Amino acid sequence: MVEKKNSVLSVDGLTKIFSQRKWYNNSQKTFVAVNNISFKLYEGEILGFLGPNGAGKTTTIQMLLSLMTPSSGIIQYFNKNFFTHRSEILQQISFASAYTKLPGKLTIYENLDIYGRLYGLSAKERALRIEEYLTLFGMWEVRHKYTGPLSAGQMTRIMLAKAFLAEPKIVLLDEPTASLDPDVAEDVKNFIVKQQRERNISVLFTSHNMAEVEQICDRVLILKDGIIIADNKPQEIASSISKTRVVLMIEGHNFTLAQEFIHQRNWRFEIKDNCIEIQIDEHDIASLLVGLAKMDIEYSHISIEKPTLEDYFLHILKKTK
Amino acid sequence: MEFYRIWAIILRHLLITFRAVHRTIDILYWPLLNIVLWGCNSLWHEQNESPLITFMLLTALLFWQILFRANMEVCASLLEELKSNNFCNIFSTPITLGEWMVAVIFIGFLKSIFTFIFGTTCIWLLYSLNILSIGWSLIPFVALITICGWSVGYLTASCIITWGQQVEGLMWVIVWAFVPLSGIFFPVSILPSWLQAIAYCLPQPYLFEGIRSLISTGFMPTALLLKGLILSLLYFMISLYFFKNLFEKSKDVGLARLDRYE
Repeated sequence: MVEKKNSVLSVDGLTKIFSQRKWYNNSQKTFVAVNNISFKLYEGEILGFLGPNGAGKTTTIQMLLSLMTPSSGIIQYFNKNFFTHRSEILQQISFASAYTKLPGKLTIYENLDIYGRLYGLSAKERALRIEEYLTLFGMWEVRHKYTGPLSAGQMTRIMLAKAFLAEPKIVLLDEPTASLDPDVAEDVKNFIVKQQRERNISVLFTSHNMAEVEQICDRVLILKDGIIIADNKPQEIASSISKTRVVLMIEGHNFTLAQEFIHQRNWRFEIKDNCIEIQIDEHDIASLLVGLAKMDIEYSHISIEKPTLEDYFLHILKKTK
Repeated sequence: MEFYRIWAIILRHLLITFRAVHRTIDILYWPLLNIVLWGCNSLWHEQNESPLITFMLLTALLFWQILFRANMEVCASLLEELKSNNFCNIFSTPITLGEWMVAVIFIGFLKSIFTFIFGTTCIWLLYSLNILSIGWSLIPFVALITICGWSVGYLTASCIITWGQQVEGLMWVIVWAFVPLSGIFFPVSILPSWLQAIAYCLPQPYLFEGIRSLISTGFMPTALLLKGLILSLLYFMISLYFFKNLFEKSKDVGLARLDRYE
């Protein structure tokens, strides 16, 4: 977990209400896509932004990029109001999504060069950085190819190169690893973490891959029906709905001794064949194992299953249904 | 050959034709437009025996192409970004809408100049008619006709920014709708009086009549040019204001929907 520093993005009471008025009877239908959300993104932090489909993630990202006007609320980057300092702020922010593309009839190099120009990079900076990022992604050799026929994996790498080209302070990544092969997704994750560590960049990261979010995010916001329902470290969020499961396979009379010991500690447990499944807080695992060792209770197998963000996600989806 | 398969395809196209308004309008719009346009053109030919008629017609055609190109460049630049799913990428950079609009106007200007040079050369090579013989007086007309093209372009782009790629056909429909009222292939006086009243609210009739007058008299028609200038600039400002406002309005629903990024 990064040490909390200055907030680079501060969102306060952000709301988006879509309304549709029917011309023939003047009736109005409204839908609250984002409902009064507030959060901060800190310097050098990777913040995961999760939620089921229709939770309001993309709507929020659009508002954070001025691609959509909020119904109410304040967005501040670097303590400056986004609506009054849009261009100045966007100079230090960039964006990449698996769902946007680049003009197919321009080459990889030309596309990146144009984005470099949009951010005001000099010819020398553009040339140096394009070479640096394309080499890093193993795409320098194909820089003169049109972007149209590129595979999803190649396009994602180009989009990331585009996003990091201007050396921004904040990067908004909307599902950057969607539809990628696991090896490419791994490269992308490693790249993002490396950029964050080396350049102290703050990243807002949306994904449907919970394992990936747990792996790289310092903190996670979970959005459901336009409301933030969780804001914490990934592991804290996961353990908020279930405890760690420890399964011990114990033979003979030790089984009864172990049962008594666990019972005395008031831990929840279940017996399945010759296994005891105990549900405990993660920090109690050490005292369980020490206790068993002190009582000379031997076990032939142990498995520890920590709750994951995916469990949490499935839990909130079930609750919705 | 199986009838049921043929019928399935016919049904698929019929359902779309009657469900999408623009497809139905297409069936009626283009024949009507051509009938009006070439009917009026024939009437003018019957009434006019000027030896300069071919020269006038080709000059007007060239200027119409300049207007059309300027219009197309505005619309095509917008559609190009939308079709390549690049619109959100562009507008998530520091670029402002004003900067984008200036860039689009500039590229339209360059292509209009190219159209003028290419068209003039073609007319000279194919018909041995030299449009440049009219002289420097042509320049203000080229400039104002280009501005008219941008105005129509931004009006159409406002529709695209509101309704998205599904109305891309308007790129041709709207600009052509102005043709019978613009006095390009015939003078506006050929039209019924109520249509003339509408036509004279636009800058194009003054400019195209000005060009015809310039060709036939050799003198700069200052009054026509002045009216054309005032109206061109007025409509241009209105179309820019209209586009800017509808762009902001479109942001209420989100620009991503235009890109199909959602």
